[in-house]
Amino acid sequence: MAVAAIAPSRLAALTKTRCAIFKTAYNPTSIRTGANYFRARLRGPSMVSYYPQDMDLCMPTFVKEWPELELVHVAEAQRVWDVDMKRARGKGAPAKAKDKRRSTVLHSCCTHDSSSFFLCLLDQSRRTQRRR
Amino acid sequence: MPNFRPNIRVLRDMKARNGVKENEVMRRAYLYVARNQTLPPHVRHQAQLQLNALGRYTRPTSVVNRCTESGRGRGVMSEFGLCRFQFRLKALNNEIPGVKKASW
Repeated sequence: MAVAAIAPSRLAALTKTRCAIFKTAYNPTSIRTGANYFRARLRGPSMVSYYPQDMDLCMPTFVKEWPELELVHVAEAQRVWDVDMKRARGKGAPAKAKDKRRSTVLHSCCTHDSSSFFLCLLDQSRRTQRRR
Repeated sequence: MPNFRPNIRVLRDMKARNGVKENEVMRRAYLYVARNQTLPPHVRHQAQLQLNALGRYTRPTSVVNRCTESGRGRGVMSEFGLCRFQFRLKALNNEIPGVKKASW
C-alpha cells in the first residue's frame, strides 16, 4: 500500500505551527534578518576591564587625552608645584620678554660693535683659562 | 609589586577598548540594518556607509589582548593575560593560583 506524498503546503503549515508553539521565527527561505547582532551579548564592558586599574601613568599626553578620567600626572604636578613655590619666594624664572630687543642681555654689546663683543668673549675665555 | 605601567601600544589598545564600548550599541544597530535582507537595498547601503564612517577605534577587531605586565603583543596567554615570559616569572614566583612547574 503506497503512502501518499505529503503536500509541501501542509509541511509548511506544520513548520509554522511549530514556530508558533516554540516561539521561534518562521523563516522558511532562511533569509538573513540580522537578528543575531541584537541577540549577541555586548562585549564592551568586559573589554574595558582587561587591563589592571592601578596604573602608573607616566605620559602627560595620555592624561590630557582623557580629562573625564581625572588622572593625575604625578611628576608633572610636582614640577608645577615646585615652580609655584619658587615663584612665591621670588626665585622664579624671569618673565618672557615682550620684544626681541629685551630678549638678550648682550644686546647693547652686539649692536654697537660686533667686534668688541667678540673681543669681550675672548678676554673672558682667557681669564677662565688662567684661573684653571 | 610595581604598578602597571602602560606603553604607547597598550594606551592605543585601551583607547580602542573604550571606543568599542562607547559605540557598540550604535554599531550593532547599523549592522542589523546593513545585514538585514528584508530591508530595501538603498537603506542597507546607507547603513553600511555609516558603519564605514565609524572610525578605527570603534571596531572590536582593533582590540588586541596585550600582556598586562609588560605590554607585549605576542605570545600572550589569554587565560592569564600575560606574555610567556611574564607568565613564567609569575608562575615560578607562585603568584598565579593553580599553576606550578611540571617535570616528567
